[in-house]
Amino acid sequence: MMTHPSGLILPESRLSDLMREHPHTIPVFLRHHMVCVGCWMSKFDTVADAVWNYGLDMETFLRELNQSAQSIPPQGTD
Amino acid sequence: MPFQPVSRLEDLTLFNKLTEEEIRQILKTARQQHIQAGEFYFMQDDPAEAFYVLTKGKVRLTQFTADGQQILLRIIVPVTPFGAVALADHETYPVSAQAVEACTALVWGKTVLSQLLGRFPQMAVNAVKIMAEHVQEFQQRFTEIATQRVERRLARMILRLAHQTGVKTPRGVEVNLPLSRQDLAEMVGTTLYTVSRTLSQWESQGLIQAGRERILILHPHGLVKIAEEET
Repeated sequence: MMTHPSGLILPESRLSDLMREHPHTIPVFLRHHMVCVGCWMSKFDTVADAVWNYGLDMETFLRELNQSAQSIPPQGTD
Repeated sequence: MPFQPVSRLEDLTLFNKLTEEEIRQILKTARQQHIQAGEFYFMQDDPAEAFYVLTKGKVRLTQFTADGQQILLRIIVPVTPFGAVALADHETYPVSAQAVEACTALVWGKTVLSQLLGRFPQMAVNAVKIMAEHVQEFQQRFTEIATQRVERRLARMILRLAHQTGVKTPRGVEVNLPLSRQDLAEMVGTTLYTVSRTLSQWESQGLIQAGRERILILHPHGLVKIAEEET
């Protein structure tokens, strides 16, 4: 699952795809002290899983991710 | 990530930066070798005379210790190279490669390999990368054995196997490998008793479901927390 065609990051976006396509979202994870960056499970888990695991607020977290991603053009997916 | 299986032969590290035509030519020089469950592609200390890429089945890489104990180092699943030491000169295999089930592998013998490496020098660069990845993973595992608690090592091994071969199912991430608890114990350097006790504990906590030769990770993040715990 990747980002929405509009560039919007969704709860069902896969973490590994998200961080590869929008590396500027990585600081958001680090800021919340989340171990998702480089995690072996990031290819299985979604944004919703991460929000649930860390007890975050979905709306706020998605806003932070989308703001970071949209400040920088998406990277190639090779 | 070292030893990460790929879905297409063309995606192997061995073929990095080679054109489709070059890859086709290299694949043409391979022969296919089928073996049955229990048979060996090669034995530890045999001269390393061929390089393999597994395309079907599962292969156990094991090593005998000086006192005759057999240690499981890795399970190879398609599509992954093994016997990469044959890409270097004057080497013997450090492990034995035994089929767990009926297997098919592409095989390049030593003579063909040296011709290929001469014709496609990029393959030699790629081979170095493969071996560097192997060294890196084993260094990491060695450090874990030397410094980490057993629970953490076991969690890291299960996560590593899940990353390499796991499949996402509605109930969790499934690692479906022919691994007994004894195998897991050997891979993380502990006893069968400790592995059984730890897996049972994780099962009662709802982290995993451990079947025969199958582990279902019900709560991946719970296992990650154990794996990431500071010593």
